[in-house]
Amino acid sequence: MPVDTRFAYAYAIGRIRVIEKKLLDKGKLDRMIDSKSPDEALKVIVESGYVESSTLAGNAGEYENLLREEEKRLYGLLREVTSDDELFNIFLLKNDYHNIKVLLKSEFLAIEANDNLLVSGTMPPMHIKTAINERELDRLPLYMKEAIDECLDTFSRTNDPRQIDLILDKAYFRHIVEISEKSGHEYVKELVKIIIDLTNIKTFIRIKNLNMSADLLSRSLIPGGTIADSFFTENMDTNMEVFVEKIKNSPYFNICSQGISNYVNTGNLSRLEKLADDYIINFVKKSRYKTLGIEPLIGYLVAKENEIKNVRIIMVGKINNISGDIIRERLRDTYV
Amino acid sequence: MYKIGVIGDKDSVLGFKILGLSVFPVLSPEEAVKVLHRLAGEDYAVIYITEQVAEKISASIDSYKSSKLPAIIPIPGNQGSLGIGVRGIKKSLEKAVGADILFG
Repeated sequence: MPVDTRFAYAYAIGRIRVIEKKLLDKGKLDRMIDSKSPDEALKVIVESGYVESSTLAGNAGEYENLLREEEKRLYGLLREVTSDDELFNIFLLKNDYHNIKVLLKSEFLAIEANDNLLVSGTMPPMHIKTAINERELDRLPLYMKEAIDECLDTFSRTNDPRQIDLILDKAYFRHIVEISEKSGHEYVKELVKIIIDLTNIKTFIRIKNLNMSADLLSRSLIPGGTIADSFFTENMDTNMEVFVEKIKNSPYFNICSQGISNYVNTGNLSRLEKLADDYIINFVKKSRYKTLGIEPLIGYLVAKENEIKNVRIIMVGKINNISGDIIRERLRDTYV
Repeated sequence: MYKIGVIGDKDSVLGFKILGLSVFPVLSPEEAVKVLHRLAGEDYAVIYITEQVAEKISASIDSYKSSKLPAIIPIPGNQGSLGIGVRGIKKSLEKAVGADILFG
């Protein structure tokens, strides 16, 4: 029988509660959108605690560096307050898998791509690099090793770089499903399932839209969600309206009906993407006021990632003179 | 082999990367001038440059007018066209043919 784990995160939650107050609320985001110039928009987030590096020097074009630093800070903090609890690798592993993609592709293209490596994974990018370069894959977790083996084998036969993404995305999800199952936290399991479902819905609509094969679809779908793979493959040839009708009883009905009808009318998937992100943020928001347990930690993480996404949307919009209305349309719901 | 380069603000030029062109996002006119001179000295036969940037560094661009390579071509950025590219073609046409036979 496991010990009472509810108190395990008490310290971490204390820390999070303090910095949670710094999250950008809707008012701040509105101020950014309504600011006259990108530089002015940038000032709002610097005031809110984003750390301005010396290279930035008030130049809005460098906002990417600022966000990268903020991401680094977020994951660093996470590791610190949870003392490397494996569970939180769920949020870090995507960066490791990103690094593997970069490293494999740069090997196949015979170019150096060190600039594109992310430091916020579960292990230093150079560790993965040496393991791949020297083909000592046993130094990596099993899911990574198997996926890299498969990539090397598939690419040598097909020369198709898309296979690398397919294989590694799948391995990533398998990896986090296993961690979530092992953790025994229902909340985490549910969150991972939601993420998989939403990913599959987006994959389904994209592949259907591109008129690509059902075979590609079944290879791209991620197992482990609440919606069975067969539901998607069977509906490959149904038209979008009928598909929406069929998904009526699922919690994702709203996302699909609004997102897809917007897509059919405008040819644009951005609405669906936004609604999918909103669904996740609203899921974690529900348990924001829990005093103990893992929920507030995960809530903050998701909220912060979401905030960084919002800041990026606003900054790109401001730099390219996009109207406030269009920026607001694309903005994700906020946690606070 | 000669290469094609694209200079401009990041969001305007990034898409060209997918076509195999070399992409050079710049933030300031000074940076654009530096990149332009560097590319002109390398194996770039064609350099596309967004009109929004070209407008601000026209003196540097003009300095390559009489040389065979590179051909520096202004293209519209994501904020739309300023008409610089078309004006350039008009001018060259008049010089070559003697009259504006395309737009006149």
